[in-house]
Amino acid sequence: MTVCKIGLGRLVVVLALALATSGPVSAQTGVSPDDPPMIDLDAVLDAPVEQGSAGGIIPAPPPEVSAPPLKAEILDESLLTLPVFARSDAGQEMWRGPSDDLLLPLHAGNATLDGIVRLTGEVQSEAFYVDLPQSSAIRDMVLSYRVSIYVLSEQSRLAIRVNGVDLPIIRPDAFEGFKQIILPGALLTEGQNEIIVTLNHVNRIFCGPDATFDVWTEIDTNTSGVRIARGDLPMDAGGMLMALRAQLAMAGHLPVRLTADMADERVLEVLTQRLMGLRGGGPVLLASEQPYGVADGPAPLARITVIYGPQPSVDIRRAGDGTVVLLLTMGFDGALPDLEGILPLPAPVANNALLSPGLVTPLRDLGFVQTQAFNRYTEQKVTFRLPDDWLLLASQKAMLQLNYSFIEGLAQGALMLVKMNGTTIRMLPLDRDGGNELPTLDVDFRARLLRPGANVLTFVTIVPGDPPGLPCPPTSAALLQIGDDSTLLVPPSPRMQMADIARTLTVLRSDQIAGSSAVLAERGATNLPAILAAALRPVAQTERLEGASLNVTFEAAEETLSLSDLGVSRRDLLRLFPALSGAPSNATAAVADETTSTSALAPDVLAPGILARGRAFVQTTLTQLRQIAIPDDGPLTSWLIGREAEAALFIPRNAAPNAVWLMVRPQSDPQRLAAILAQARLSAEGPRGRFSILTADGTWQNWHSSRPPPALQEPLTVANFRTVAGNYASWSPLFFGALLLALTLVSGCLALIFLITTRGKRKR
Amino acid sequence: MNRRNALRQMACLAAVCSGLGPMAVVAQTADPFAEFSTERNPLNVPWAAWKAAYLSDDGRVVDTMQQGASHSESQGYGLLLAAIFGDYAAFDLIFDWTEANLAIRSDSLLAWRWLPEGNGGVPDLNNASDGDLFYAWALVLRAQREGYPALMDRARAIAADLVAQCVVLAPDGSGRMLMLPAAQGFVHEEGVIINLSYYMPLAMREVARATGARALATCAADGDVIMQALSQEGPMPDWIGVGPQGLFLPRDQSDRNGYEAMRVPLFLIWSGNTNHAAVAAQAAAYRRAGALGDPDMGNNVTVFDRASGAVIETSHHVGYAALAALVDCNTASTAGSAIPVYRTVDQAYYPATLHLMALIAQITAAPECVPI
Repeated sequence: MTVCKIGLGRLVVVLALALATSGPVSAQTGVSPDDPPMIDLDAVLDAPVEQGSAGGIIPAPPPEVSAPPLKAEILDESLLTLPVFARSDAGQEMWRGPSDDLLLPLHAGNATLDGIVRLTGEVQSEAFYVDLPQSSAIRDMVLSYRVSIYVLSEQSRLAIRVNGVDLPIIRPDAFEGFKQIILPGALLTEGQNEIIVTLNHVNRIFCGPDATFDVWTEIDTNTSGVRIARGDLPMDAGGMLMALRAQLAMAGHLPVRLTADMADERVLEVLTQRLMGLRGGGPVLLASEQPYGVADGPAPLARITVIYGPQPSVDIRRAGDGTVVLLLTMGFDGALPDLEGILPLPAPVANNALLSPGLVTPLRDLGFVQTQAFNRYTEQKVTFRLPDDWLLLASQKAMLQLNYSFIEGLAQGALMLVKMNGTTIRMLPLDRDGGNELPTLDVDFRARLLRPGANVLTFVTIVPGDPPGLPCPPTSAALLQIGDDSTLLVPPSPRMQMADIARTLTVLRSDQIAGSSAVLAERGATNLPAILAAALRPVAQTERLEGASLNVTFEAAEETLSLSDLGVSRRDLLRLFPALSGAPSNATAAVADETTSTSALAPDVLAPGILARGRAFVQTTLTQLRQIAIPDDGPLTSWLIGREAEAALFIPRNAAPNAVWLMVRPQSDPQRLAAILAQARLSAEGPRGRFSILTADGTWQNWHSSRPPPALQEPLTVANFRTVAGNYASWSPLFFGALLLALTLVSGCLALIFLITTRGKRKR
Repeated sequence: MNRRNALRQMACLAAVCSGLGPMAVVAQTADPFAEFSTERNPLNVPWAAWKAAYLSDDGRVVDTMQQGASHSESQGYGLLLAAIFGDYAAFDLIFDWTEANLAIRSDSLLAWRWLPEGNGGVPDLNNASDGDLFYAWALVLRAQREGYPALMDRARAIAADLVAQCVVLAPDGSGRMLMLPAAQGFVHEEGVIINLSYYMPLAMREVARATGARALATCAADGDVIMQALSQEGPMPDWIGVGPQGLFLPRDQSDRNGYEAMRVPLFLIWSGNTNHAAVAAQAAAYRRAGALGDPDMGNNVTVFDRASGAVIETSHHVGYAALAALVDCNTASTAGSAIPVYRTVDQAYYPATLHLMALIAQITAAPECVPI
C-alpha cells in the first residue's frame, strides 16, 4: 500500500505540473522550434512517418455525442506524428528458430549411456543402425568421430559400410575433438539401415598389449545420423517414434507436458513403461513440464502432451514452435487412451543364451561371434547363463573342449588365458607351433566357478610387440582364431538356490521398483524410481517373481528396513557414502581405527600381556574356525571397512531373499546409475551375493553370505542325494561334519542300545 | 450447441477439476483476472520474463524495434499486464514513469511516443487511442480490485477525454460511433480512418461500465458490426476508411492484414467473442497460407494480401505463431492449440506482448486451447 500511495502522490504532482506547464511543446520535449518538421501530416497512414506526401487533413469534428472536447495544446500541427509503428522485422538479423534439418541419430548395437561408442585396439568394428521414414528427402549422413592422439593417421583407416556397400576409406585425423564426416545418403533406404564402421589403428609410437589401449576412435551417436528435412518426418506412429528418438539423442530427455494437477505419477508411469525401449539399453528420462513455461533455447524436436478431453484419444500434431507432439487426451474420468498403436510396449531385453546343464553346447549356440583376435591385447567373451536354480558347490568338473589356432611367428611370450568368471582355468602359449592345425584341447575346470544366472568365459590374448618399441606392422590378418564349434559341458545340479541379488534384479518388473517418497523428495529425487523403471526393462525368458522388489533409499532410515540380519548398523552403511554420514568414510575410518587401536593397544603391542595375547589368540582361532565352518566372506562390518560406494545393493532380511534395497549416493547421476544397473543385470561381473557395492569406476564388489542356507527346490531323492549333500557340505563343512558326527553318534547309540538290549535277553 | 462450444464447456469442467477452473469461471465475474493475481498464476514465469526483457528499472516499457521508444501502447499494455497479474510494484513503476513522461498533454490523454534520443523526450503531443484505452483499463482494474478512488478518477478522466477527442460519428449516416486512432490526423475529406485493432471490446466495455463513458461501449458494439461486414471479404484490414459512401480503402494504403489487424481476433477472443466472423476469417487466412502446422517453423505469417490471401511477410518471432495458433484453435474441432512456449529471448517487445496476451486470452476465454 505504501508503494501505491507514493504512486498516487506522484500522479497529483504530475497532473499539477501538466496543468502548469502549458508552454511551447518544444520546451517540454526538448525539440527546438527551429528543427525541421518531423512529418507531414499528409503522410499516408501506413507509410513510414518520415515519408510524407501531399494531401489535405481535415481536423476531426467534435463528436456530437459528447461535450466540446478539451483541446490539446498543439502549437504546430506540422510537428504531429501519427501513432504508426514499424513492426516488420524483415531484413533484421534475428533468431531463426531451429534448423530445417532433423538429425535421426544412429544407435549402436551395443548402446552406451552417453551415446559415445569407443572402439579400442588395432582392429575394431561396430554396427550402427538408423530407421528412416518412407519417402524422406535425405539430405546426407553424418558421422561424428574423434581419435586418440596415439593413432598414426597416415597408416590408419576408417572404413564405413552402408547396407553392405563400402564407402571410400577415410584417414582418421580428428585429434582435437569430434569432427563430422558428411557422407552421401544415396545408399540409405526406407526402414532400418545398417552402418558398419571398422577401424584399423596403428599406434604411432610402439607395439604391444599396452599400445592396444592407446589407440581408439570414439563415435558420438547423438550427433551422428541421417539428416532429413523436418517436413519429411511423417506425422504417423513411425515418424513420432523417430522424433522421440531424435529428441532423446539431442537433449537426453523427453519433455512431457501435463495440465495442472494431473495425476503426474500415474501418467508418467504408464508412459515410462512404453517408452523404455526407445533408447536401446539406456534409460529414458521424462521431464515433466507445464504448458506455460518460458523457453530460452531451441524448441524440442518432440514432446508428449497430455490434456483432458471428452473422449480418450491419441493424436500427432505439430506445435507452433515446430515440435512434433504426441497429444494424448485423457477422459475426464482419468481414462488414458489406448497407446498400443502408437507406443507399443517394448520387447523385453534379450537375455543371455541359456546353457543347459548336462548337454554339450557349442559356443556358437551361446552367441559367440567374435571368434578372431586382431589386437595385441584382445578379450573375446562368451556370456551365457545357467538356470537360476542351478547350484554346484562341491568338486564337480565342467569341461571346455577348445578348438583354436593362431598365426605363425608371434613374439615370444605371446599367450592366451582362458578364464571362467575371471578365474584363469588354463594358460596357453602362442609363441610356438603357430600356423599349425591344433587338436581339440580339453580344458576341465571346477564347476563351482560357475554360478546361476550370467557367466562369462573369456579368452584373453596377449601378444607382445616385436620389437615392442616400434609401431606394429600394419596387418589385417587375425592373430588368433577360436572355433565357434568349441563346446562347453556343465554338469547338471539339483534345483537349489541361495540368496542372490542378481536373480532378483533379472526378474524385476517396473512396478516392483519403489522408494519412500518422503525421503526421495527430501533429496530432490522423486523421479529416481521412474528412471530406474525406465531402464530396467523386463528381461526375456524371465517370469515375474511375486515378492521381488527393489526399494530405493538414501538414508537407510526407513522403518521397514531392518539391518539386523546383515549384522551391520545404519551408520556402517552411511559410511559407504561419506557425504551422507558426515562421518569418516569406511576407508578413512579404517585408517583412523588402526591409528586408534595402535595407540590404545600400544602397551599390549609393545609388551603384550598373557591375557591380551590369549584374547587375540581366541579371536583369531574363532575367526578361522568360523571360516572353516561357514566359508563365506566373513562379517559384513569387516568387509565394509575401507570401501566407498556410489551405490549399494543388498538383501537385508534372511526371510525375504528377493527383497533388494538400493542405497544411493545423493550426488549420483540417476541416469548413469540406472544404465549401469540395467547392464549389470545381464553381466557376469554385475552385483551378486547378499551385499554389493558399485564403486566410482563403475565396477561391482560383492559380499557373499552363507545365510540363508541353500534351499532345495525339489524333493530329496536317492538320485540327487549325493549332490545335495555335497552342496551342503561345501556350504558349511562344520555343519556337515557336525551333522555326520551327530548321525554317527545316533547310529552308535542305537547300535549300543541294540547290543545291550539283545544281550540282556540272551542273559535272561 | 456446436462441437466447439461443447469442447469449451468440457474444458472448463476439466479446468475446474485441474485447478484452473476458477479462472475460467471468474471470467464472468467482476474481476475476470482475479486468479492471475494469486500465487497460482500460471503465467508467473512468462510475466517475470516479460518484465526482465522489456521493463526498465524506471518503469519504461522499451520497444527496441521503435528506436528504443516507449509509447502509450507499450505503457498501457505493460500497466494492464501488471494489473492483471497483481504486480503492483511493476504497476507503480510503469504508472509513475508514464505520468511523468507521457501525461503531458493539456487533456488527460497520453502523448503517444517518447524517444530516448538525447535526454529523452516526447517529439509531439498526438495521442494513440489504444494506448489510452489500455492504460485506462489497467487503472480501472486496480481501482476496482483495491477500491482506490484516485485511480478510478484518473481512468474516468482519460475515458472522458478519449470520447471527447477520439470518438466521432460515422460519416456514412449510419449513426454509428467510431473511435479514431488518435485525436489528430485521421479525419480526411473522404472520410475518417480507423484501426480496428485499436478496438479492444472487453476493455471498452469495462472502462465504459466503470467510468460512465458509455460511448466507448457503443463504439465497441458498432465496431463489432463493421468487423462483421469486413469479414465477408476476408481478414480485417490494418486500416479502413469510413466515408459517406461507406467503407473504403484509405488512399495510398495496401489492402493488407498485417501487424495491426492481427490483434483484432486476439482481442475478440479475449473479449469472449470467440465465434466472431472476424476470428473465422483470420483462421481461414492462416489455413490458406499454410501457416499452421508448417514444419518450416520460424516463418510465421504476419502480413497477408487481403484480396488474394497471399503471404506478403513472415517473421521469426514466435509470438505471431501464438496468435495464429489461438485463432486456429478457436475454429477447430479439436482441443489443444499449437501456441508455442513463451519466450523473450530473440523476441521483440511487440510479438512477446501479444504472445503473453494470447496466453491470457487462452486461459480466460478458450481453456480448451491449452498449448500442446
